[in-house]
Amino acid sequence: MPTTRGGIAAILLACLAVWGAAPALAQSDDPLGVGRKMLAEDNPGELWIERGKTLFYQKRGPKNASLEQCDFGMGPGKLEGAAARLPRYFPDTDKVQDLETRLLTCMVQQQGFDRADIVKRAISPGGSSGSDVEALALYITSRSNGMTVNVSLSHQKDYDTYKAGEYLFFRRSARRTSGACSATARPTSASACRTWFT
Amino acid sequence: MNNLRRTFLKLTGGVGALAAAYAAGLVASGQAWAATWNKAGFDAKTLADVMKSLGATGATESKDIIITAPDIAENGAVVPVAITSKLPNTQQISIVAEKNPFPLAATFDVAGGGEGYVSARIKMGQTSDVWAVVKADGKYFTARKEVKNTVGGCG
Amino acid sequence: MAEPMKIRATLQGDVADVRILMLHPMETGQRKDSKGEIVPMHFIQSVVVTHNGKTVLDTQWSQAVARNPFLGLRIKGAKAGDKIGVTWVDNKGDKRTDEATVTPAS
Repeated sequence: MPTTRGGIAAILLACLAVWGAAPALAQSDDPLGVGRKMLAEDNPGELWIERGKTLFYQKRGPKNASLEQCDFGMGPGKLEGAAARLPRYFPDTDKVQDLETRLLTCMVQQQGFDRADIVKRAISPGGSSGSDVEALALYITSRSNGMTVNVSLSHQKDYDTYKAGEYLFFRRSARRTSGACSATARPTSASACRTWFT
Repeated sequence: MNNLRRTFLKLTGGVGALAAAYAAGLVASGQAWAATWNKAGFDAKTLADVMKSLGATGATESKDIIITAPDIAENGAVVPVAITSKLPNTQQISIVAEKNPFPLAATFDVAGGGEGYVSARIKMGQTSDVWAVVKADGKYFTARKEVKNTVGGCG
Repeated sequence: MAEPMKIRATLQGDVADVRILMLHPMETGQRKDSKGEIVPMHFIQSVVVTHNGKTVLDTQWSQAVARNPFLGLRIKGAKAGDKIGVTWVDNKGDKRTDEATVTPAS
């Protein structure tokens, strides 16, 4: 069971590569559509996105810096479409990183936060109003809203990670009764896939 | 609805009940809402008791009340419900989920320029009729719509 | 600490379509936390909406209103630039007030 970030990134890469290129889910007869439409607008997530945006541009941490110099793969501070191209290989860390681990790298290097401390508080308990990392990740992800997932496998490490993720993805695990992430009828997001293994 | 609050709203021509209550020196600050919250109604366990607490027993069904809600709610924790009342002089709208342990979910007093329209999201424990109880021109009317609950999700 | 709300008020003719998103756990008092202990009741009991200072909606909520509640309403006779005020108070006495301006339809 992978618990390392690398392992998670691997599965994420595999999930995204598999589904990123798939056609949009067809909804023919749609009894759940009315409810979904009513809930589509005015999503509480908007409040977190706004909080994430505020946190992104705020000078924070021991180095009193914002995250505007953080490179998510499209250049420092360039967020438009960045999340759609993650996970990917980053030469400066020589690792394949997903959104959260890349965010962590920047929060540590550019803002001076303590890595262990952020990791401890990163995932908020159920019922709480969310962590800073979650708000930031949501904001950065929202900057790729509506864009097609566009994960590249051109770098050797990207490819290796993808293959590792593919193996893990189809392997039966004891965590759930159906065994493998691939047994999920209709995975709705890469992060849903990831939670099976964490 | 609490008669005291209704009197305040009428007397003060729409100024918030809270302000009126403070002005009248009848409620200590910080206590106002606890005093006027319809505890009897929110503690009621049956539709009939909810209706009684609202003073709506014997209400008639009306086609001028439209309930917009999904036939099937994907997630019982967040069920969108919108109520439109075309009844003239709509004063109050309540949302009641009949099979919830405590059926009264919300009461909206719309007097004072608000249109007879409210939209909110409620929790439903199981498939149930959702009732709209509307007070218009001093009389009570109802409408209802069945909302089925389904268990959604992956795996 | 009460988190800010998001209030949108757009004009459609002379009716303001108001949409409010609030951040609040709306705990029913029936849920158990990860340690198996009951999370106490904590929910918004009242929401008051004002239009240029005048109350137009006075609501009472139970814990059956969904977490991070949404409230939609319509106000007749509104104009661009009008002030919309929203105040919520919960069962612990916490409260939050936010304001927005009615914007013309885009």
